[in-house]
Amino acid sequence: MSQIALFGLIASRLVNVPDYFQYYVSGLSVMTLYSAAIFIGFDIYEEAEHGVFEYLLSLPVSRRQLVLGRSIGGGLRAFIYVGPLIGVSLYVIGAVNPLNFLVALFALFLFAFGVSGLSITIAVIIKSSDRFDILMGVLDALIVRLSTAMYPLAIVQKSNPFYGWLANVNPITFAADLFRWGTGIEAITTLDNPLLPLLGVIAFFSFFTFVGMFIYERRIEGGGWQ
Amino acid sequence: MKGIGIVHMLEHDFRNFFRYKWWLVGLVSMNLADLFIMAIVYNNMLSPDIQTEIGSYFNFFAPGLAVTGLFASAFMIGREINMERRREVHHYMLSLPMTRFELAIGRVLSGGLRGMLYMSPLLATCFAFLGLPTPGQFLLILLVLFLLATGISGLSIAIAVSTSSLEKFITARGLVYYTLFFCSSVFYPLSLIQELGSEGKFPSFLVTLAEVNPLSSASDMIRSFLLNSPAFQFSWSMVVNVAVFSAIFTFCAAFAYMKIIER
Amino acid sequence: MDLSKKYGNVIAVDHLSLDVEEGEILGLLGPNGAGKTTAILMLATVIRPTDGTATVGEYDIRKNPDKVRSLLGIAFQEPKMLWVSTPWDIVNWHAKVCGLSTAERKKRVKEVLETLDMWETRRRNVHALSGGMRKRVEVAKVLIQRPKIAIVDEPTAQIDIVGKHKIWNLLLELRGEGSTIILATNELYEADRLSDRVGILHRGKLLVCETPKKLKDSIPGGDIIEVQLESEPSAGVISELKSLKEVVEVVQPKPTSLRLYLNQVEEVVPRMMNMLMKKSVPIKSIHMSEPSLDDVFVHYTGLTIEEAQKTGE
Repeated sequence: MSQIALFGLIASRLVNVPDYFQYYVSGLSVMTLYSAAIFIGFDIYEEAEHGVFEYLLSLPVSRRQLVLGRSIGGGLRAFIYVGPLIGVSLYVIGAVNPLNFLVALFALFLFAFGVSGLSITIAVIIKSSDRFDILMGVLDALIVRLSTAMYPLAIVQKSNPFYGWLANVNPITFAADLFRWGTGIEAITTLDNPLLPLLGVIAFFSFFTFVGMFIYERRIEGGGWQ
Repeated sequence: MKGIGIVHMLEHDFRNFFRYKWWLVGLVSMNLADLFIMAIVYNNMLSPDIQTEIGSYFNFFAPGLAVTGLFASAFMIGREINMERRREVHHYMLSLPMTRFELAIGRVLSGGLRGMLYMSPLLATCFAFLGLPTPGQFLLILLVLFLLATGISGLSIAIAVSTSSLEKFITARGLVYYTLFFCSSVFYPLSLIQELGSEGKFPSFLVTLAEVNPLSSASDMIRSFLLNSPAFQFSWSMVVNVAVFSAIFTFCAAFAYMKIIER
Repeated sequence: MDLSKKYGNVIAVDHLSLDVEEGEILGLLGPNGAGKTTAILMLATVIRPTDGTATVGEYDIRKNPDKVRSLLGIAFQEPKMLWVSTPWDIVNWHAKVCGLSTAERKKRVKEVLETLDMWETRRRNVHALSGGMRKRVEVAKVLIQRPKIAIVDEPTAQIDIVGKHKIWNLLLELRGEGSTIILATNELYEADRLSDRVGILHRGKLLVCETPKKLKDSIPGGDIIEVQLESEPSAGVISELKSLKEVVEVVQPKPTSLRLYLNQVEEVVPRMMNMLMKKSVPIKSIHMSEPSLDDVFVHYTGLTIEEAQKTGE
């Protein structure tokens, strides 16, 4: 909230982008959703350290159900956590197109689940909390900044074409742009056609949930998680 | 030998600092991404007035980045002390053959020195792009940053010993982080905040906070030495500001640490 | 003297008064929650007493806590270490802080870690160690330090029997070098084996403090002798046995067996044997048992240690 109240307000004076405050606020919701959804990976290491993970593996639940449950749980938890921020964003932005907004919300759900799935997949592949820490830090640094969460794509492309290309295929870009499209406010909407980013989010979610499930099953069976 | 306890605490905390090297690498990545991605993009978004005032946002932000890096790493000591409290490892610290004062000051100093160590490559990056200061300016930069680091370390320790759970510590840390970061001239010139204040769009107490914020003083001092801009002029009040902050929080922390953990 | 600690309405230590003699191992025996750890933390100046004070060496814990800590070394009940550290770092740093010279530190660290089977794992992070290994590291700190006054809180909890014996031997060695040791434990055998004197703590109060033998002898009829005879003894034999001053009760569960409840069994057995031989009463077998410290605990508190723990002490 202080990022909205302080950074968003002041940065809107700093830059030459119309309605930057609303633009930034909507992007902040997506950035926060990403950070909250990633956390499930850290939980897995914490559980492994405390032996809780072994307990979960001993339950009469299939490995697929376990990972799907964690992925959905992680995403849902992130969504609930960011819910008030999304509410504030809508209040700040001031208007919303209901149907578009529902589609955008659905995309954000999938995005959150996909991020959780990504986090779980990386956690079971790496198997080291130290290396997981560094990778998450680096990913966070790059993924968030190389997206349209904080600035429009056109400006990213103008600054550096390579950055622009990376931002163009970034799931945070899809989620942020869809969220803005969902508000229906022309001034901050950068999408003409939401179909492509929507497909992007669905692909991201599908890949990291189902591939994640597969990798999880293979890696953790029989003590492979140690 | 008197004071040897402080040296032992420095050794202890520095060794622990390097054990978190993976976290540090993540933090460095974030800091460098801020400079080489975010700052470059923002450079192409600046409003004309701001462009006239500060020139390049990249050059403007680089000193601020060194200060944010210093802040984040100096603040880490609080997280460790909070964890020690929760796991009752502080009982071991309290049982050691050293005075409480040595223990407390050792922790504050080690937090500050760790901040300096972490920040040094960021400062070097700053010099690489903005040019070198004079020797006298360099020494003053180091002094001010050291004072800032110990003050931040002290603030972090004071929060850590005053909060009983991890959640409370993280909440308090977040509040302090964001308020100090965003109510300062680290990311944007102070003139913007003052302008918003004069238009009634920003609370006056926050404008005052931004003006007296030691992060603003440290960032603007480095800019005054490295950027050739009339917008940034050195003033001894910047040094005094940081020194007062450091003195208050170093001794607050030492006092709080001594009193609160031994119950 | 009159050391007390209150947490709100809960009295953790209730007017504890105790003298620890130089060079002895004093065992503090009691269930979880009896106040042993709280008492120890006060002596180590880690927490402040609510009332009363204590003198450690010649220093008052309230007035000269720094000097008290220079005399003490403490191995905590729960190992106090950060998970990112290694045993090597922990014990080396501890030895430095306690003022050991480099040569002495290197020698002692190697000796103690090897004895405790922690040398091979000395560079492993604490979070990768088992509970027993962390406990060994915790105890190793004190054994390397060799303080004038060592406080060890449940030093062999979570450790296997071989490890226990190694630690016990090291503690006895430490005492042999002149250190005074305060041993807090709820393991009866450990208290019995190591302690010169045992203080029984219950609900924050010190009930009694004596040598293990005197504590056992203080239970009337605590020792038991079971005698199997070739033939039924006469009434005169039984009454003569009852007349021995150490004998509390004689019971005849079967015609040819006698059970004597008595004190100081080691003194009574020869006299009893002589008497039975004089009266031509042939003995088939004889079995003796002494009370345990658990029996002592029951005698003073009315509960076994397990029962005392279950009642949520």
